[in-house]
Amino acid sequence: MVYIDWQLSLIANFFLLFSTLQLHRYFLKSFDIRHFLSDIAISLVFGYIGLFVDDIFILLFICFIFLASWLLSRPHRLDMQKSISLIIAISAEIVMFSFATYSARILFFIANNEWKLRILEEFQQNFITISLMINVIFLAIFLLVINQFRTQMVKLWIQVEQYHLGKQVFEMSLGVFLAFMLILIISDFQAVTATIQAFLLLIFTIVLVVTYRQLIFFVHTIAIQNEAQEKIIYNKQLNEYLTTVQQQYTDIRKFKHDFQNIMLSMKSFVDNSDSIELKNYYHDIVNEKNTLENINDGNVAQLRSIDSDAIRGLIIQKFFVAKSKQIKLNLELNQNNYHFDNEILIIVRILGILLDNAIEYVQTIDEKTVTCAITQADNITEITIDNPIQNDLNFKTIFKTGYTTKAKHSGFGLANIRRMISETDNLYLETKVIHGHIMMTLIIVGGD
Amino acid sequence: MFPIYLLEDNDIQRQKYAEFIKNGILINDANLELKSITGTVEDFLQDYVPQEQGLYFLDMEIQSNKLAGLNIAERIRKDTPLAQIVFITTHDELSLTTLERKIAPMDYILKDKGLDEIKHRITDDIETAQNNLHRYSHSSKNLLDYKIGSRYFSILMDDIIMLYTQKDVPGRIFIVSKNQLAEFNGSLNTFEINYPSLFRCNRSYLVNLENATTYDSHTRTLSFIDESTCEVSFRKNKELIKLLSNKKNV
Repeated sequence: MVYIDWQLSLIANFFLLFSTLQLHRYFLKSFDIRHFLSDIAISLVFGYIGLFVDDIFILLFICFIFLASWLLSRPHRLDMQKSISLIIAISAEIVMFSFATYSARILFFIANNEWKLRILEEFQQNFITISLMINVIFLAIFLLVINQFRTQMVKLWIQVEQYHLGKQVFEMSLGVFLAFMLILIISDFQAVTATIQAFLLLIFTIVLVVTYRQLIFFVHTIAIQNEAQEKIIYNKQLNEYLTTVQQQYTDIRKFKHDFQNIMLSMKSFVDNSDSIELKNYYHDIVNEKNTLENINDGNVAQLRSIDSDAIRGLIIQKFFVAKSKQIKLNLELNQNNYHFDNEILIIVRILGILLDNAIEYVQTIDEKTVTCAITQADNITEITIDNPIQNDLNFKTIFKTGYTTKAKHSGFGLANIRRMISETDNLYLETKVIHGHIMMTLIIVGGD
Repeated sequence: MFPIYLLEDNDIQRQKYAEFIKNGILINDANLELKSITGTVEDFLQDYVPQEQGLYFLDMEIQSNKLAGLNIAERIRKDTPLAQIVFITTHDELSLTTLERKIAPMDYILKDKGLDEIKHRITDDIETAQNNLHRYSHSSKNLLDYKIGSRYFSILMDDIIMLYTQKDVPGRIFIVSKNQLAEFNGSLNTFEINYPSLFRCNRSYLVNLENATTYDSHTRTLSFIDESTCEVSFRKNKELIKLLSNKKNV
């Protein structure tokens, strides 16, 4: 055991608590002068207590803060974000503090070429200074690393809050922290040698890291699970909505079709008639037709006939993306039922790329329409994405990647599609330029 | 003399179109005759002669059967792959992309555009059909056929530029035509035998010399109208030079 002067001990304790609090503030990004002063006061008080009770003061310190925040909040409850942040801060700081002390020890032993604790007592002033300095360096490195992952951490926290995992995360981190403290306190009481304590700490640090990794994994898993569940509910509601829209759309379409045929047939009578009034009236009605043209928008309802949630979901999503960009995504789904059961993930990815390409391209031209047509018969499904192209778009440049092995031109994401198609045996891609349109068709064999 | 078929269920419109077609034949001095004018699917099928090369003007919706025109077109396409099919229809009956995939019609005429436009388009289509039908009647193998799953696909021989295979995707043939890139499973050897007009310039390339532009016999590089190139194997070099010089002399 090394006996260290009480002033130096106080400084070390103070440093430990104060840097913990600052780390905590950093996690929450809540620096201000009031906090700063109160942090100094609390750290001093508990640093002083630490002179009498060894490492238990850390536990007392944490309990005090929890109690204070519980009492100050109305109604009484623990703020999970603050609590978790504090636990992580103290765990990280204790680990860094301990390793800083051990590093300083080793430095001193090497400098004096003598492995005796007496040296540390002799040079205790320098020893404490050095170990605190090393601790500051560790802190700086830790902050640099943390900064790199700041956005991921924020995202993770958003997920934790969204799915109400705060309590679980808090319990898990508190559990690890308490176990950690227990080891420190018992090794103090039992006066274990520094070497054994160092190993205990090392092993514990590894456990700590692994636990936190597991924690992140756990949060991600829960998040994915919840998202999937939400999607199912969302899809169900959408289906119900689509059914009603489909019905209305069918009725209007029927009317529109009759109307157009009647108008066309009437034209020859009107042309042969002498009545100017009749002719004017006819023209007025023909001009009304533009309002009818918009009816086609209802055709998103056709998507109900696709039985794969993933594929339907993707097309719906792209439909609204297109709409938000003033692009019309036409759907041609004339069959009552489309069944998909193989390679759905790959189909979704390829379809996503094809639709994105088409939407991106038509943004640059005047005719802002993209068509998605699906036909299914005789165990073959064809999904065609069609968009108009401008004359100056060279057919050869589109295909260049297709039949030279070098993938220089990746503007159409075709290289990715090619790779995915090569991974399976039942997908085929066909590209055709016709009537000023480009049609990309994914042919799927089987699974009907 | 090739036949023209007209299928339209509205009496007044049918009368008009028949008039336009007769007019179009006269204007183009075409070797075509308006053989059948019908208003129902049953009447059409009575007149219909399978595997007869011809020009078909079809309405899509016949007597409230929304897919009648499409079904007939599918049948015609199956019987006579090179038949010239034109749809005359209202805008919203038309699933253009689906039609293009299933039928690949020669033209779509939209009723909404008015009678003058319809007349104009019919005249133009008669001219195009006349040219196409004349061209196809000269050669026996006009189409290259391939199969994906249970479905047959065909591409005009004249349009084909090359068929090739790639080492990383064994068993798959890629086909490049003037306006199309497709793929299917098969072996080049079969196609080399079945389509003798195509030239095997190396192990993995079977090309259509009709669409080749230049050949550099030093680098043994053959170029095509779409600016793609292909290397000719040493063994095939002489054969190719001979073929090309024969072609030039003709």
